[in-house]
Amino acid sequence: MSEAVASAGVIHHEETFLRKYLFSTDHKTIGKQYLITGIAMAILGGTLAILFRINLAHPGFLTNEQYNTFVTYHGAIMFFWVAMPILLGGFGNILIPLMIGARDMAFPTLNMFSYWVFFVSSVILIISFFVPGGAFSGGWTVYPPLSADPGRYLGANLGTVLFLLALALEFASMLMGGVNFITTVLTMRAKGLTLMRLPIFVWMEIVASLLFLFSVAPLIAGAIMLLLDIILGTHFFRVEAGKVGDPVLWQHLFWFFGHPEVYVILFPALGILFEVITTYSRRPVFSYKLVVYATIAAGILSFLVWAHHQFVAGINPLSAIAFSITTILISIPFSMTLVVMGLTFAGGSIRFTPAMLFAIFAFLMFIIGGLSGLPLGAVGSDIYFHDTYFVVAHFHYTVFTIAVLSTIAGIYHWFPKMFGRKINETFGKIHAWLTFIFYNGFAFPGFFLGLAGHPRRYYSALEFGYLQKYQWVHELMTVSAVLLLTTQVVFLFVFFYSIFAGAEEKSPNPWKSTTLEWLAPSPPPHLNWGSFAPVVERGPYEYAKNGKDIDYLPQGKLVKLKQPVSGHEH
Amino acid sequence: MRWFLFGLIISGIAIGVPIAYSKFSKPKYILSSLPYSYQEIERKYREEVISQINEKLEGKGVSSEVKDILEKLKNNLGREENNKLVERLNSLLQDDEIKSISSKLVIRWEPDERKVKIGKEIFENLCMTCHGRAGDSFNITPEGLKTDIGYPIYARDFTGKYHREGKVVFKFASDYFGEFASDEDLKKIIKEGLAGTPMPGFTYLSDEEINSLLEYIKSLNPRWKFASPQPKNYPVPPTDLLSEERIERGRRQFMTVCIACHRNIESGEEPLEQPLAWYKFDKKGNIITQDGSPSFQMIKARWFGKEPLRRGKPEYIFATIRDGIAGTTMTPWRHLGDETIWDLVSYILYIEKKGAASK
Amino acid sequence: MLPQDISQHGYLVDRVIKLSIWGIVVVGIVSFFIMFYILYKFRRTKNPFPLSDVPSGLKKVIFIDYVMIIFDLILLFMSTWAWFFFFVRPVEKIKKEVQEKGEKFVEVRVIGRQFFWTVEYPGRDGVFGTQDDFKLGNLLVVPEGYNVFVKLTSGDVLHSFFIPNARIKYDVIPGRETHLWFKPAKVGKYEIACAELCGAMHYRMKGYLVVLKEQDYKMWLDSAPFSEISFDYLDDDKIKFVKGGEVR
Repeated sequence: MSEAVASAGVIHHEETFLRKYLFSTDHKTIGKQYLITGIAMAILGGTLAILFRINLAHPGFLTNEQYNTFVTYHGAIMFFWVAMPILLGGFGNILIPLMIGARDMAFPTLNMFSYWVFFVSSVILIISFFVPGGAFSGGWTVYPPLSADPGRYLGANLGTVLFLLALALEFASMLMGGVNFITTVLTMRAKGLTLMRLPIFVWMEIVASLLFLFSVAPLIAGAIMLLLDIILGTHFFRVEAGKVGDPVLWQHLFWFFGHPEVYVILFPALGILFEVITTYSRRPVFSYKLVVYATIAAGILSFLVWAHHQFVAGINPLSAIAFSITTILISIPFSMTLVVMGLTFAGGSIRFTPAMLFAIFAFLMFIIGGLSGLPLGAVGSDIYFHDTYFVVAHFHYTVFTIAVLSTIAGIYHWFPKMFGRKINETFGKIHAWLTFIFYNGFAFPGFFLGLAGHPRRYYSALEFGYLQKYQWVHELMTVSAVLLLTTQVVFLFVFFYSIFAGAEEKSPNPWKSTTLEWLAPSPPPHLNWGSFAPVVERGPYEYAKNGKDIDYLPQGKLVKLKQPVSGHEH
Repeated sequence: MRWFLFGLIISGIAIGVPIAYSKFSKPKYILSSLPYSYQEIERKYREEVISQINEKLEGKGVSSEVKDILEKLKNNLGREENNKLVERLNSLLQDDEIKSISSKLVIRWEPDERKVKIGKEIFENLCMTCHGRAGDSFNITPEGLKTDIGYPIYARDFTGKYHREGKVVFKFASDYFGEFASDEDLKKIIKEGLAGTPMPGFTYLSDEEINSLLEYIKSLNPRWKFASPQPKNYPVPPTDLLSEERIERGRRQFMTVCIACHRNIESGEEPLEQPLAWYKFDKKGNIITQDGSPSFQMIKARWFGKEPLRRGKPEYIFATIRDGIAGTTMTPWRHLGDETIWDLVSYILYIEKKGAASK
Repeated sequence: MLPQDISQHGYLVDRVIKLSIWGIVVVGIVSFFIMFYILYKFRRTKNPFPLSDVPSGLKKVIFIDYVMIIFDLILLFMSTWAWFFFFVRPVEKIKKEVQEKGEKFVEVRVIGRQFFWTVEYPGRDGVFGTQDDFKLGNLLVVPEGYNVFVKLTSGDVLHSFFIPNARIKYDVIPGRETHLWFKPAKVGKYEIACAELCGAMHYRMKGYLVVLKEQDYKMWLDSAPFSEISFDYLDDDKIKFVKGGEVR
């Protein structure tokens, strides 16, 4: 963005449909594209999940190869094509420039390119279902030798190559997005917006983008080695007579990326929760600095815990103890963050809007998810829990909370800002409660299956005598999961209906929130601020300040610019 | 509105994809090359038998109906039609010699679909990794299979695809020609395994399961349909099996006959390596000759005392010497007589014991 | 919920599991109660205007952090103890200790293949590479009260050798040899599972662990390693392969 924009207003140019809705460089349009593509992929991932869940309740519904394929794609899609695009691409793109008072991202064209790369990666992923040989079915962690020699073990050579290609493109897209976020926040903040005045959501996005930038390199190297193994027959991970590949190497490379990756999606979700909770409980964050420092500490620590995924996978047992210590250590910043989040409710005046309900549920579920990580991080009990349903339940309590509960909280919260319309509040409350109930109905029994020693990724529990008696648990989980997806599908209909026919939201700040994005009109026009520019005067969470009539102070105000300027100069 | 349509279209694709996939997904495992299919092997077999009949009929005037029936029998017919035609042929010709040949065309057995389905599951569970997804020992485990002393071997190919006559060659459970093995003999191998090879014994399988598994294995090669193999006869070992005289007599016999391939074990010579007929893979699991012509894979004569016998009970050793090993240069030594064979068994057991003691 | 513990040292793992589960249940319930209290107390209908500061009583909730730290330390200590006992000591060292103490032990090799376990026994003499070695598919027979040393290798892909009843699990890695040690203390028939995705039939990669009395084990070794095992203390005399006890 040029100097001129900062000092002048904007002239609007008429844009073609293509330019406005498809190949737009507007951060909000790109964000919405990310959001909607992510939602579509979520439906795909959810449908896959329902299909294989039905199979778990009634083995024989799918073939075992289809089952493995669906499990693989469900995991990969939910991580890389749902959580990341929605939380980083969607909310990050829409909110970061608005929250820091910028007119667009630092590199708008790169931003557009990153979305379209992401879109292509989604298309390739879907294509990989239909190639001869079938789709990849070796688990979303892509462990070799299953993935390094897929023609032999899975029969899906081309499918695996396409899967890895889609993954690589997705990473490239998110890398571009991450660079964009960091640059934008560091260089384009409004006047008066110091780093310690940034909303926590922006902090979280920045830390997440940095984590992603630092962690993805080893995985890209690993993925290239894996592709070489598949295509050229090298022996990085493959073991053949007389040739020394090492499948455990991939696990190191993958989890060195994989653990920070979990925080890449966790942090934005926590950021959303902080924004939502402060707004509806009318209280500032209990300790802003503690949250920021704890986040940074957790981010750094997340690079030192990767081997807790491999305690019994052939690493040196002594190093397993070291990784166990760091893993338990990382629970401390998170327990601090969660305590701060809990105390943010305290003393407030809590409005139970749909967004707030989702945030409360997400918060409660994070407590379960975080605590259930302890038995897995402790190396002694992980001997038993490794690769059982306990792990499945644990990461559904964290990742589902991230990718669904927090995301929907964010959608309800920012929907008026994004589309200028409202979602019915009663519907939202019913939606929140149903989601909460069905979600627990399908995720919580997993802990019991894990305690019973049920290994993950089993097509059917009926083959093992000691698991047969838990078949009813699978049936319960399946019923809950089906109802859960049904609820979300109804929500999506309401969501899309509300986009074009919901009640119009006149006020730019319906929730009486403080941060800068609520100063812009709803929906914000191209280049956001028109002939105004925001100037920041105080911190982001000035609630409960001023007695009874005005209980909040906006973070800044809009200042009229002197001369207009063309929108095409950035 | 536009957003709504955009979302609707993408959601439609998203729901459609998994459903379409589960409906229309294609079979996954396509082998790169199949020398002979099931049908081709059957047709080949029928042509071979019919050409034998024609040879016998040469010179004799035969009615056009006989020729017609023979022509019809060349096709892969169903059980009823086929057996009727064979009966008709026999009644027309009234020739015992031809009858004995044409009986090879009678379909005696057909796979039971229900059992085959169960058997296939068990096969994919337990046997697939070494015997190949299609039962053809193709695309097997990357380490390759090895005996305990590190000699490369291949798992049994149950399809006969890589055999020039479409035969399945069983080493341990039939006569020298090794076309078929009886259920009892195969059951023994499944239950007890083959020592020194990667084949373990699956003792815990029930008879029903083994029967289903055999049903599946037999459904892989069409020649089973025309076969009625008899179980092998295992005599009871004599009481004086390991007596000094027997061992001494056995040694003398061994040094005159067996020494040709097995070499002088006691002086530590290495046994002879000779080609094993019929099929060969390259390292990647591709067959080097795909036209069905013989190619050679080397096989080493058993190194007594160094590696365990595949099946170490005395009666098994006896049967092996008596009937030979199909597909190898180990010919049947039936003509030596039972007593001499027991002498050899005694000597081999003695050597084995000595070898074990020296370790 | 946990399956019956049949090994001498499984209690070490059980102890960590119980400690961690009860710990997180207590911490979770306490924090849920605090949260419900806060949400109820400060709801809009009751408290229409926010307080200017968090009530000082509630600030003490930060105490949970200290509780967590102490709990973490105890958990770490216990879990490291269990881990140390099972995996950190090299198998050779354990073997030496066992021999010095005069305890009995057996060695077996387990090879994971898609989708079954090959178990190699050294036979009567207890030495590998002799004539009386034999191999069984999916069947690990061990005597009660012996130390069992398992050498794990893989023939193709990653597997994970998991005996829920003995509380042991270790990955089976191609190109490497990994070791396990446990001491079965209760006769009976148990199941061995594969806990690492290994292909389409992963869910059917089931082995059996049969723990026999010492004299029965010797009898089995001597007479009939290939015959079915049926002693009245095993749950049932026939191990069914197909589910539901009936051939589908």
